[in-house]
Amino acid sequence: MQIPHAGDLVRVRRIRWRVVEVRDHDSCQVVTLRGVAPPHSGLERRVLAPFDSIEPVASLGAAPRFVRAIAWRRACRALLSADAPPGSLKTVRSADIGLLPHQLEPALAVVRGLATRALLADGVGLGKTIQAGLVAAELIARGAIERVLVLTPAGLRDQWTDELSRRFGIRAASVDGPLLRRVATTLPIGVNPWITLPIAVTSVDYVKRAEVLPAAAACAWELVVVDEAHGVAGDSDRRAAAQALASRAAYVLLLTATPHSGDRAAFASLCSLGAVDATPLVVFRRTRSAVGVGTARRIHLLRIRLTSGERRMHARLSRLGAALRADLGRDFRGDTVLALSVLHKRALSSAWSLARSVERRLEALSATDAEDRDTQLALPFDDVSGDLVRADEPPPWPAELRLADAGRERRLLTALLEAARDASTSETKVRRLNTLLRRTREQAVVFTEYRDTLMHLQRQLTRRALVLHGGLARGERSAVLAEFGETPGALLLATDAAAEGLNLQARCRLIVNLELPWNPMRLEQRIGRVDRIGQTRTVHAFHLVAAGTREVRILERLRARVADAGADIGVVSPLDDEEIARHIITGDVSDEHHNA
Amino acid sequence: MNTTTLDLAADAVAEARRAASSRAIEDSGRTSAWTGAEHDSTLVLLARRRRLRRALAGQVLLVWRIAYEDACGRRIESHLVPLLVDVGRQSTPRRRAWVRRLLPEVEPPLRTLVNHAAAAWHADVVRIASAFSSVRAARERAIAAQPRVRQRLFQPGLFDRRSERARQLEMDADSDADRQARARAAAAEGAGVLSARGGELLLVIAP
Repeated sequence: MQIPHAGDLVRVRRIRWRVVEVRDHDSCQVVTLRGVAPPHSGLERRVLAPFDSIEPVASLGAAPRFVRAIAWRRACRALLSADAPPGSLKTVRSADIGLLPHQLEPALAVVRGLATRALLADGVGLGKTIQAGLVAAELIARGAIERVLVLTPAGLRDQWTDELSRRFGIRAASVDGPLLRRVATTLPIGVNPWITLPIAVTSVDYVKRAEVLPAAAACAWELVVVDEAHGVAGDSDRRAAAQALASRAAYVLLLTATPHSGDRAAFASLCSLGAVDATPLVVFRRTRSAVGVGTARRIHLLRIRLTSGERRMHARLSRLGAALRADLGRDFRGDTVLALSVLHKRALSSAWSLARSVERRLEALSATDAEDRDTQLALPFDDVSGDLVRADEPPPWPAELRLADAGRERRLLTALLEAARDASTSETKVRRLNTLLRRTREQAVVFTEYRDTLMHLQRQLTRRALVLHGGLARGERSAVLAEFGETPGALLLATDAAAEGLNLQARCRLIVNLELPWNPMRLEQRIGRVDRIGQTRTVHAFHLVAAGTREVRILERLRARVADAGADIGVVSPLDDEEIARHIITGDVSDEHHNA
Repeated sequence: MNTTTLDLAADAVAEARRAASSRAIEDSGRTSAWTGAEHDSTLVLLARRRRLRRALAGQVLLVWRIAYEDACGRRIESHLVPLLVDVGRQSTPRRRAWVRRLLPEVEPPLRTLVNHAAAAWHADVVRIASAFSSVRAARERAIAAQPRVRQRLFQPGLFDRRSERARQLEMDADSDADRQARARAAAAEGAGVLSARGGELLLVIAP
């Protein structure tokens, strides 16, 4: 069989195609074809010569074809619209995206040879997925890459596959355990199923598994996109997996609106992801005001006066802390302080969640095998598909928090449990939330950090609420999001871990933070679910802050961390970041300033 | 932290404008149908309307396309070059036959002219393609040069050979990855070689 040349008109499987390229592959040729007649017009397909029969279609040769004006004009329009100067983008014309200049910059940088590794760190909701999709589409259209791997939180896989397909015509597979097993059954033994998936979207928590990573890393991914890349900063299994994949990819895109939490080491770790030589990471960081998009954002700080029962709970928690400090003496520092702060976080989240933690500790103190149960690692047998997220599960009792005198510890904990149970019967934040939701009467998303607080809240609220947490399977998540999108006035209770990266701006503009997260990135991520391109109304964010508690101090700490982050990222001036910090946290900057 | 920033804001604005005008020119459904049915031969329109004939003023409009292809024949960049050629007033009633005779005569000299006319475009293509491929090739070379990190210690079992087989699989995978990395580095080096495709005459309007 005669091997065709690029540009030839051929017939394959009884359909006419134009040959786009012919690539040698071992002793065969991979022939890329583009459809020339409906319904295959513009579609690209690949066949393997000589196994597929490729018949040349007789050409009319150089003989000119006389056409009517309408056909000539149509041809001329098509040629003119496809004509582009060197270094411009080929796919943006046909992509289903708005033409926002800032979204074109990363793709321009890549096609002009200015970047192979980039951090897209634009503000929340400025279209980082579109920017990454455009880079992928451009590289694919130029024949520069064939294999793309998108690493994303589990809950965003479907959103990614949908966006790639709808906006760029890129057919991606949402990869999880069941899919890989299904694919493997169709392949000979020993063939890596990942090889058959040229464009794959998978969860970073799934791919990091010891039984999954080697097969995924054995494929030569040419573009690796790490979505919500702040999740792979620092020293963790996630980072190790992302690094294993990114360090072998020709192009690496790191996507996060919140690259810097104020922890410089974590930021440095993020910046080095996928680095193989001294080539610097190209950073794109544009704010909403710089880009000139977005609606007004109003932050409302609601200071909550606690009941005497809640104050007693906090006082007893402080007493436990004082006892630990006295008991541990010089050892009371670093990890121990951090461990104690976890209990304070639980108390500020809800009295209910603190009570659950204390109950478990008391049970553990009573059990003989307490040590083993505390430290047993959970195996992913209940999560074969990699859908579940455990970050919002109640944390185990910190090992550092124990008194030498177990009897005294038990007495202090029992008193604390009693106070927490008493406070949980009528929590001020819940009452205030009920009032707020009754007054607003519109769609709202209430955020909390812990799953047990979320479930407690669902029981306590007077309004029916949907819940979105890390324990939901893929189908359940989709059902919850679909119902939230379709039901006017629906209320969604969500944990950070489950709601990361979601687009909820279509109908909702109201965010309530039941407690302040200790990480400023999380706060921005929460508000960013509704404050993004496509939002047409003023966004309102309510922070419920317990007066007279450590939550007031958290505000100050958050401000300082955001200012540190601004100094390191260096694109936005520290002054701007300081103002943004105030804007996110206390709302004491005029809206107009940030909504130019 | 080894980071840098780029200022492509002005280029991005220009690109957005260009894309917007491309979308405006494109007659959505009908145009895309034409794009698919791209022809092999030159499309010729014989001007019938008086206004068009007057506008041509005894000239033939020829639209050429010059292009660069990669090693696989994929068109990487292309550029349209319009030319007006004065042929004088034509009163022949057999215009089709006249056009058929004219085009083979003028094509060779005009093809050279078109390539010369687009010299700046040629230089831009070579510069950008070279930057694109060299940066990729540099990264591929760095990837290929990366040392393999073996984190797991290995102890062969006395009776059970599973760990040995697992070790062997791991080593095979490593060497496979090495081979792939070297192949990709070599391919990236070669990807920068583009070949210019001589001008193709696509569209003609004859008076």
